[in-house]
Amino acid sequence: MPTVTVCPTGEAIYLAPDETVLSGLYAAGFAYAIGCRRGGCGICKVDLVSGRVAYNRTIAETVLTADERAAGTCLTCRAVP
Amino acid sequence: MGVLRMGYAHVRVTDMAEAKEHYANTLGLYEVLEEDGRVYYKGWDEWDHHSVVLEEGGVGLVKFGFKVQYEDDIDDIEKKAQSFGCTVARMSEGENPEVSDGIRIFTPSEHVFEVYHSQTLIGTEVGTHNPESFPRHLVGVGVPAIDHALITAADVKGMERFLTHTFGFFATERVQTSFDVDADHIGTWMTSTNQIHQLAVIQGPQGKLHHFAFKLADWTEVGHAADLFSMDEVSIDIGPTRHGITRGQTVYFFDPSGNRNEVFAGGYAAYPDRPVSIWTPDKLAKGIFYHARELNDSFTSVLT
Repeated sequence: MPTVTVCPTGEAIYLAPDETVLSGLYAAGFAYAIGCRRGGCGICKVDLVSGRVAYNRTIAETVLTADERAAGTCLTCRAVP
Repeated sequence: MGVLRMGYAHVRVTDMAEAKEHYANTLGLYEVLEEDGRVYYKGWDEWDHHSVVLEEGGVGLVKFGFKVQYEDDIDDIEKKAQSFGCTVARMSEGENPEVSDGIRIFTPSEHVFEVYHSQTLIGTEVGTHNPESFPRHLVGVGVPAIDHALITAADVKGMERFLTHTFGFFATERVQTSFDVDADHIGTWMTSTNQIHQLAVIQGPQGKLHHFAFKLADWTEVGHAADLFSMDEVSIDIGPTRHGITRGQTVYFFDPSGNRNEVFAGGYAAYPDRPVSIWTPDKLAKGIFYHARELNDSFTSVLT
């Protein structure tokens, strides 16, 4: 089961297959700044400390740059662990 | 007459197939042309060739088109834009399919506004000869027409001056730092006709789109639209609710690429001699969302 661990508390969130990081975090009661939930506004980014996420849909380069991806920035509304 | 209305919004979408599903089947726009990776749409009660253009690749605004009544209006607006210090380029007929020649203004807010005097006349879906009130087989929301847009700019007061000087727009409502005459402007809602706003500008980054909106008739239609958004799993931003500013009834929602759309009904009749309604930051939340009276940062920071 895909798992997201929230820093610094270490709380583990279990996601359904293909569920996004944003969906899992909100379902578990976490709240943070989110916007369009469609990968267009870039507000819901978090830092990915370790692990990998996949993007199953096209993300505009202006929203999530290659540098950001390399640096571990995660666009949570589209990111699937 | 000068500017008649905002005639088209041209936006980028990341996935054209999803975007077509949204604009054609959820909103119910009529596809009129697909050419060179762009899809063109009109609403059922619009008579010109198109009012929405989708272009695949990226997200956010490409440009707006504003229609003027007479060909001569183009020269007049060109001179005014140049005298304001804007770069203006001539565009030839057909550069935009089915759109006349005109000008392209690079605005102080770093948006692109095209000004044109005609589009190929298609006619509304009910025609002009003993017309029915609406088409019998509308799809989804069945929006009749595009209505207005909201953009962000670093200098709102400057944009109000630009739109007043160049387009002959007047403000109907404003958000200011105070009621004082020398207050800074945080937002302005502007028009050239009785329509409550054709273009609004709020403080924010240069060149960004907050939303573009489609016209609906009343609360019932706004509620019906929200029901359809649930059916089609559209991401709803807020609503149905009312705006204090303009008094309009609204749902904000996002297209599948994250561009914010709105369905908007109501709004009172605008007149240039009507005193401007002014809102201050302490009441801004009520101004934007009249019922919730709460405004989070994402309203002004979620842009494409």
